[in-house]
Amino acid sequence: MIKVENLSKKYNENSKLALDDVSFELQKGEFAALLGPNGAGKTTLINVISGVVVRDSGNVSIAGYNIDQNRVEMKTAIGIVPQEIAVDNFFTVREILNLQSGYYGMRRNSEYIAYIAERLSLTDKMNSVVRSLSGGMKRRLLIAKALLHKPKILILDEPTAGVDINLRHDLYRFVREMNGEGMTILLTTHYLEEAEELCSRILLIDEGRLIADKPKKEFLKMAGDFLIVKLSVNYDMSKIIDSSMIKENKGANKILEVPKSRIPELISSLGQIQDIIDDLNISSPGVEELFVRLTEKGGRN
Amino acid sequence: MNSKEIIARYYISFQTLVIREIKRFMLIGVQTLVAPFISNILFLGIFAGFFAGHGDKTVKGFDYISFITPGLIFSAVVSSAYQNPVFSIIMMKYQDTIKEFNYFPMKPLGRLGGFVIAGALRGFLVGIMTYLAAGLFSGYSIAHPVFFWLAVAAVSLILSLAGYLTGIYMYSVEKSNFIVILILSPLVYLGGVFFNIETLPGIFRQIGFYNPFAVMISYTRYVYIGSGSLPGLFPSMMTLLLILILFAVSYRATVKGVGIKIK
Repeated sequence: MIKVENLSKKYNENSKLALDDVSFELQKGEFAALLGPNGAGKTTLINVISGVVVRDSGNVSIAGYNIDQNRVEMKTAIGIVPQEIAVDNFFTVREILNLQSGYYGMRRNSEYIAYIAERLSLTDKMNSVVRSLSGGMKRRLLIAKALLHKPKILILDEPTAGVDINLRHDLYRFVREMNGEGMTILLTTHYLEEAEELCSRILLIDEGRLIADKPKKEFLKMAGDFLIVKLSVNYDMSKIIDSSMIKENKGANKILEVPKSRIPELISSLGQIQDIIDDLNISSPGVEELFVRLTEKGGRN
Repeated sequence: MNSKEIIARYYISFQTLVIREIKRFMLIGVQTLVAPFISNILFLGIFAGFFAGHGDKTVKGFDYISFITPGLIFSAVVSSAYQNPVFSIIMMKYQDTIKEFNYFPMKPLGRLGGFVIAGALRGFLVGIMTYLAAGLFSGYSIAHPVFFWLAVAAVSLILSLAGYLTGIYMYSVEKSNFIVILILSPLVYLGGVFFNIETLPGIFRQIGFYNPFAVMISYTRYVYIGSGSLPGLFPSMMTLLLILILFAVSYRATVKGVGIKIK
C-alpha cells in the first residue's frame, strides 16, 4: 500500500540529512509504528509521503501510484492526521466536515459524516464552532477529517500527544477497530507503549536513517536475551550484583537489565536482602528499553 | 475511477474551496461588505458637502460626484478583491491548515481558481455596494451597464489574482500591507480616481498613461459615464500583457506548490 524507496531529504545545504536513504514497504492491513527520538526524521517522512515536503531523491508510491502523479486515486487512498492541531477556527464542526468531504470531491456525504462523528464522540459538538472545542475534541476532529473519504491507509503523526488518558484509550480502541476492518495504519508516537500495544511491526528511525524494520516480536528480540528487573529497595545493589546490570539507580528505585542466563544468580542474590525489598517486578523488555538500546548503542554505529 | 468521475471530483473540490471562501467572508460580512458601503457614503457625503459651496462642480463637463463614482467603485473593488485571498491564505498559514491542500485531490488550477473567483466575487459585491452608496448622491444611472459590470468583474478577477500571488508568497499580513501602501494605493490614486489624469503636469501625465490602473480606471469610467477619453492602444496592450504575465506567474507558482509545500 505504501512503498518508500531510497528517500533522502536535506532542508538546506549546511544541515544534516533529515532523511537518509529510507526504504520500506507496508502491505495491506498492516499496523506499523514509526519510532524515533525528537528530530529523528519521523515527521519529515510523513510530510514527504503526504506531499507537504519536497524530497531530494527517492520515490514514494501509494496504492500503486507514484505521489508525483497527483492522481485522485492516490490522494483518496490515504488519510493523514497531522501532528499539530491545525483546524479552521472560523467554522462549526459540521461545516468543517462538510468542507472536508467536498475537498475530496464528495458532495453528499452526510450519512458517513454522522457515522464517523458518532464513532469519535463528536455528535454533540457538530454545531459548535471549532475554536470553542477542547484540545482533545480538536484531535478527534482531525481524525474524523482524515477518515471522511474512506481511505485505505491512515497515517497518524503522534495522535495522542497532549491527550488525556481516557481519550488516548478511546483512540487506541478506534484505530484498532479501523485496522481490524482492513485499514493499513502507520503511527508515529512518543508513547512507546502505544507502539507495543497496537502495532504488529516497528520501524525505528534515528538521525534520518531507518535502523530497524521488524515485526514487533522480532524487534523485541533484537536487542538481546535479557529481562528488565524493577525493584524498590534502599540498598546499594552493586554490593551483591554485577554493577554493569544496573541501568538506573534513583534512590530506592532501581532498574536492572539482566541476561536471562543470570536470572538464577540474581534471585539468589536478592534472597540476601529479601526483608528490605518493598517491590519487585521482572518483565520482558518493552519497546522503550529496546529503543534506547538501539538508538544509543547499535543504531549510530 | 473513470475519467468522468475524476473530473467531477476535481470540480467539486474546486467548488468547495469557492464555497469555503465565500462562507469565510460572509461570516465577517459587516467588515467585508457593509463597511465599504458606509465608508463610501461618508466619503461621498464629504465631497458632496464640499462642492455644494463651490461654483464649478464639473470635470470635463460631468458632475464631479458622477465623475468620481466609477473611480470610487474601482478603488473599493481593488482593495476588497485583493485583500480577500491575501487574508484568507495568510490565515491558513497561521492556522497551519494550508498544508492540507497537499492532501486533497485538487488540481493547481482548481486551487488558484477557488481563491481567485471567491476574492473576485467579494470585489464584485463590494462594487455593487459602492454603486448603491454612490447612487444616493449621483443617481442610479450607468451609460453601458453590461460593459460596466463586466469591467468591474474583470478588475475584481485581476486584483484577486494579485492578492492570491501575494498570499502564497507572504507569511504575514503586515508585510502584505506594504504592497498595498507602496504599490497598490499610489497606482490607484495616481490612476485618476479623483481627478482627470490629463490634468497632470508633463512627465507625470505621460507616466500616468502607462499606469495599468489608469488604463483600467479610464475604461471603467468610459463605460460608466458614456464618454471621455480612452487610453491608447499601446498602454491597453501593455496592461493586457501584464495581466497575462500575472496569470502565468500565479499558475506556475501554484503548480510548484509555493505557499503550501516545504522545500
